Amino acid sequence: MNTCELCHQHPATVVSAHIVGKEKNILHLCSFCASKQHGVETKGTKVEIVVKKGKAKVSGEDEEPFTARCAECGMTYETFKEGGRFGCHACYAAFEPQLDRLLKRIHGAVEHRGKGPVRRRVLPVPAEELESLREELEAAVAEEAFEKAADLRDRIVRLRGEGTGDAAE
Amino acid sequence: MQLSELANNPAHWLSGADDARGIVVSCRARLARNLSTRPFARTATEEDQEYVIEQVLMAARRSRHLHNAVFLKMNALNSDQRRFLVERHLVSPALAASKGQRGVLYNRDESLSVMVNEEDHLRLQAILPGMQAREAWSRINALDDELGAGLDYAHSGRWGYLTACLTNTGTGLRASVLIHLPALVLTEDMPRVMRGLEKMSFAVRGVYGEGTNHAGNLFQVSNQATLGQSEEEVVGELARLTGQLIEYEKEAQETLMESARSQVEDKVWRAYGVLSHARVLSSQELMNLLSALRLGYSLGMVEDVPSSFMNHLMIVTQPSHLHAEAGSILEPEERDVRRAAMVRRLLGELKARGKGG
Repeated sequence: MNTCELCHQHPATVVSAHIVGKEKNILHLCSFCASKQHGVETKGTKVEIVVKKGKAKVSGEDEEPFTARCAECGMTYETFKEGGRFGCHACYAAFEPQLDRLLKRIHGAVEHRGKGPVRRRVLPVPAEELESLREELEAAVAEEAFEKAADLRDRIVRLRGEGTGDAAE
Repeated sequence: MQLSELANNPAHWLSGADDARGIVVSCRARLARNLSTRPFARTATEEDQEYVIEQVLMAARRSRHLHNAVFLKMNALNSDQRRFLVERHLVSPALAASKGQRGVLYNRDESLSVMVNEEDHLRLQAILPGMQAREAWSRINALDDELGAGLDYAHSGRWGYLTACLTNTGTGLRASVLIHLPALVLTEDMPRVMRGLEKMSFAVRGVYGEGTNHAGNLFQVSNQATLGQSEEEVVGELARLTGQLIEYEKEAQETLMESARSQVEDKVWRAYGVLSHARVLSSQELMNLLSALRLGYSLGMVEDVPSSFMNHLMIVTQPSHLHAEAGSILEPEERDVRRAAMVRRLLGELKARGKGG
């Protein structure tokens, strides 16, 4: 494993890609320097990716309309948009692709930082699913497809957070 | 019926304790929680809703805080009785208006309550007098842990507590203070103060929450964001802002006293006079008079009418409380007469107690 390009002391576990327009500035960093540079907390020795986009990049507005239905309560995204209320807790996962945008608009943040239940329900994450995502991630990093890699990284973090990541007791 | 018992017993949060001379009436912390095993309350069937009630009651019976609590089922109450609970801040207008299997659980001094099957399965509330936002949070946090030990809360590591509306996702915490700011209204500084609060992501509403007006110069200030900040940070920020609002209000009171002392004194003592002798009082007029009297109390002009008395009066002169006292539903005109009579009677009793030592 390479050492960090900033401190040259610790192993580089983070690939930092700063993208402005077509310019890519790629650095291999250790987790300490990554956290200092980007305020990003990384864990473990798996390769993590940090993508920072510059202002030149315009996010695509011409997205396909989002049509999803919650398998558990049957609520569609359209119905949710009209009433503003989810039908059940599983709607969060069903409408997940839209959530960051909505939560960001409402709260200016997308991640919970408060308490958790005393008794937590642990949803097991299939090990194969995580493994295949990790493989995809490594492949994406090798190809320097950093946006794809960042998406994959987020999905892995999410799966771990939901399932085995911080299960109590 | 338990409601008549409530009518004459002032809730603990009206006691006027720690209220910065009448400025901070009360503070409140509420948590939104759902069970992961049933659809949210609006989509749930009546059987689902009954299951939720059963689960909550079972968890409550095992808790230290609510094992003696009273549970009232909404569909066993008529609309006036429901309104009575809204006036006491035990249930929301939304819960009072909705059909289906819903209810409220509350302890003896009404400092802790749980609405069951409002838009979320559980809405836990702690309400305390004065500037006790941190204390309200710690009480509701303890109750939450107790109930959570027996309930399967819907929660995700990433999004926190999963609620029916995304505006509550995360901590599910709404922390608020009810604050009296008459001088800031008179000096026309309120719009500026409200803009400042909104910039800090705090909302300003009327006494009964969303969509109600600022009757009697009372404002409810509450956090808006429930994601990205811990509960302690939110409550700490509310406490800090409350301290600031008290300072602004005191400064505005000083400005008023310097520039228009006689007019302020006249306003206060006229209000006292009208309250003591009026024969007809609308609720709007009463709220305005009580605001003037409370300002007099804050300024140290009126010493014999404590804020606990004004707080109590604010609740018991509302329509459904007047109905409970009269034992029947009244027309608005009759209510205004009864309201004036009740204010005269209670003020008379207060003065008699004062003379008796």
